[in-house]
Amino acid sequence: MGRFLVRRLGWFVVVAFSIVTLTFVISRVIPADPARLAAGLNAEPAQVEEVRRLMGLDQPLARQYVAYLRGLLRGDLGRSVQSRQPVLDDLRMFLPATIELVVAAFAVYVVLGVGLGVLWAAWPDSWAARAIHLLTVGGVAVPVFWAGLVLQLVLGTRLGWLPVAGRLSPDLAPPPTVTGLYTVDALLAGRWDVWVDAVRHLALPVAAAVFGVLSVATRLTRDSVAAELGREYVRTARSKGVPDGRVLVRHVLPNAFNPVLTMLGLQFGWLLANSILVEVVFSWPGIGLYAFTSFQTFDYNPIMAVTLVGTGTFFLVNTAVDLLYPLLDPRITSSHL
Amino acid sequence: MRAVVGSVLGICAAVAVAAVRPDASAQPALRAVLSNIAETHTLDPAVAFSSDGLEFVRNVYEGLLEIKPRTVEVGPLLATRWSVSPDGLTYRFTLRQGVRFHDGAALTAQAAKTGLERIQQVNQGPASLMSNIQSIQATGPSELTVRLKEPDVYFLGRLAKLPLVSPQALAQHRTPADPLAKEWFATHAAGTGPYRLVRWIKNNRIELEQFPGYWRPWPAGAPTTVILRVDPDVSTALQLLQRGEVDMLGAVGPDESLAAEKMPGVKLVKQPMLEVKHVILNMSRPPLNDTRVRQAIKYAFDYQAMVDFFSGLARLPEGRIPSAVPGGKAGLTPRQDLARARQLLAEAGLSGGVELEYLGLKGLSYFEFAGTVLERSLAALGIRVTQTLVPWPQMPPLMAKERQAPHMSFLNMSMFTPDPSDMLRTAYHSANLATRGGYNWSYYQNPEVDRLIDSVKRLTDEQARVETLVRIQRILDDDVPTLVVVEPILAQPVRAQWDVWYETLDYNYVVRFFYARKR
Repeated sequence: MGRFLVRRLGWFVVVAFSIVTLTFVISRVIPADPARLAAGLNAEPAQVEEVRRLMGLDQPLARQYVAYLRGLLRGDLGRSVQSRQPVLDDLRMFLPATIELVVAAFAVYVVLGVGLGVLWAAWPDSWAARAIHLLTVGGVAVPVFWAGLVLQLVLGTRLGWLPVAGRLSPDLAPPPTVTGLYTVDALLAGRWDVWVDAVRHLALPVAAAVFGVLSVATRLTRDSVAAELGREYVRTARSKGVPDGRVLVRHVLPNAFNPVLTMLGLQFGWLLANSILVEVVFSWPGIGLYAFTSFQTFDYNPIMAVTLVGTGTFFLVNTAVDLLYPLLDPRITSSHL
Repeated sequence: MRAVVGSVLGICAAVAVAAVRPDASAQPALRAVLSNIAETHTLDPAVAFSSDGLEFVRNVYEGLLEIKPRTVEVGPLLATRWSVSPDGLTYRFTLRQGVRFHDGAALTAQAAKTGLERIQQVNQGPASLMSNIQSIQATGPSELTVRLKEPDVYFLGRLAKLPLVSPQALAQHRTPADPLAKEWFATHAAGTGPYRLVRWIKNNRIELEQFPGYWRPWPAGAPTTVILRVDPDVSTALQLLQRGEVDMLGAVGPDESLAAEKMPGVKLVKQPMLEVKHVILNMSRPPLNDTRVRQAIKYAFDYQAMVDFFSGLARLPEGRIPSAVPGGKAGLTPRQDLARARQLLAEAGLSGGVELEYLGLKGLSYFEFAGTVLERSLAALGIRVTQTLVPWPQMPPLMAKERQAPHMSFLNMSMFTPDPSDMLRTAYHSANLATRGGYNWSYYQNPEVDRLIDSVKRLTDEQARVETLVRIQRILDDDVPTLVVVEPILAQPVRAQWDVWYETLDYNYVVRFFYARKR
């Protein structure tokens, strides 16, 4: 297990280094002038130069690259050209909103995706299965931002059930920051009104984020469960008179779960990636929106930092999934990892 | 029992606190919410220089003078009076008494000097308006004297755009490494404006509230709380407007404005927009180095198609300066004349087979439409146009490559001060060539035009200024470094009960809420 973690960490360093280098090269190869943008529309040439000098963008590329790597080793992600603020502070500010959104979406995704998949496999000819089939096809076919827009228009504006944007109603001040997750902080502060409002604001963005990836979990769970249902041990259990529900829960699900778990790990990363579009459509102030505005202004350091956060999340989640295998399937021991 | 006593005491305390809390406004709370597609990156008034930043600055900070509401004229604000020396070089300002900054510091001549000099020292956005200032002196407790390097009849207009920060905040938050407290002012504020900063939840909203110590009486119907929110997706902002959660919008295009006008409870606020949209012709590249070819393009362009694209929210330009300001009605309305265009092209010895590149901005539909009009109009001359669309940060560096930059591009030229010659300087002065980081993307160099542009601000007689402005525009109309293709009309969707004015001298999307009224 220890060896596995060390090896994994080694790979992470290699991957992260490659990603940083690649992002650095790609972002600088495109001809763009973030300093001009930061200096303002009517800025005179001398002032644009001043911004360029302040941000070190007048230095040769190789020097900028080495300086960036050096900073990275010290845990310094640099400053934004636009805001001149340390990127690390920005991440601290925006990450909780995204964590809140992605974790909530992931929880809904796991319950709904796996639940519907099992339902589909267990009763393949029912009307419910047909409805699930339709839902998953819709999820694949519809882009996230469009799903978001339709949800806003129907459930938000037309029916008026849910708020269409932001994390909290403007009448409510955010709860005192402990975790930065409004739902958690509201509970810690004992503010039920804030908690309810925060959850209501989560509803539509979570729905939009989940809708797009739902089919993956549902279909894979269905296939996996259906394959297990055809196995001999299931027939044996049934012939011994074990009730169907017990066969499904006690025997089939644990065996069917490993491929589902691998997929869920990867999907967590996709939910994070999708959060860019979801956050833009729902004015959700997380790192997705931060990435979006940084891309628009070619703000190099935030772009690099967000890329690193993405890489790190994929790494962490997949490592966690790998560590879970032995717990779920005794045939896999840590020596397999 | 103890609990009951405790509760009673608690309630009494709460009532007492509520009773003694000073009610500065004596007005019912009134909230205004403005949604924009982008958020400012800084609150520092010496740095913020785009509409997103000015949206905050113009409500929290003030200058010695202001642009009078609903005009492009200059009026008194923190200075009550001023005098100009006969040589036009020395300005003496008398400051208003009893003005305090949000942190309690008093406005004095020394404070004003400190504030103005900070802008110069930070040397970002607004500092460009101060390049003509020789010195700033506090010549009395309430008297400030500013000396210029050369006369400038528009100096007061530039001064009106320079916001003053509290000298106390500056002294408290400066560090040896950051002597101008840039770090602090980037996320905090201390001005004299009608609103003070409550909180900034980044990428979400800036909350402002009425400053209780404001020097002017609070008008009935003016908002006491202001929320500047960011909704990067315009369709989301439109829904919020429809739901009444947002009262007014920042940057939206004509399509969205027309869609919003159909919503119940929403109206369009229409204003002349001090902007002229230009098609840039890059004179550093053949065949556009030949005046006849550029003139041929001028006569080939379908101006009416461009105006029609704005569905009634635009007009044909009358020159290179907005028609609403002096010198703007130059009588140079462009018109399509294909026969003349063909003749000019033949004279230039060009007979089809030419291919020109057009560079536009991705995401703004009229940039793409202008490219399409060029494509179609020039096809009639046998010229093929290829279109490339890129995000804004890529456009200036691409246009800065002399002789390699695309043949044609597009720019919105807008007024930022009451000085119309600034617009001409930005686009046509040789000091602002694209290679030097300026917006003279045509690579137009004409010493006479340079000299005339430089002369405008020295002319004290308005008639002489107008004549010079018209003369410059006539020369440009013959030389054709650009085509002026459309003059848009500002049309912003606003909830019907609001009476607001958008600041067209601050890139169109800024509202000064102290002057807004809810009916």
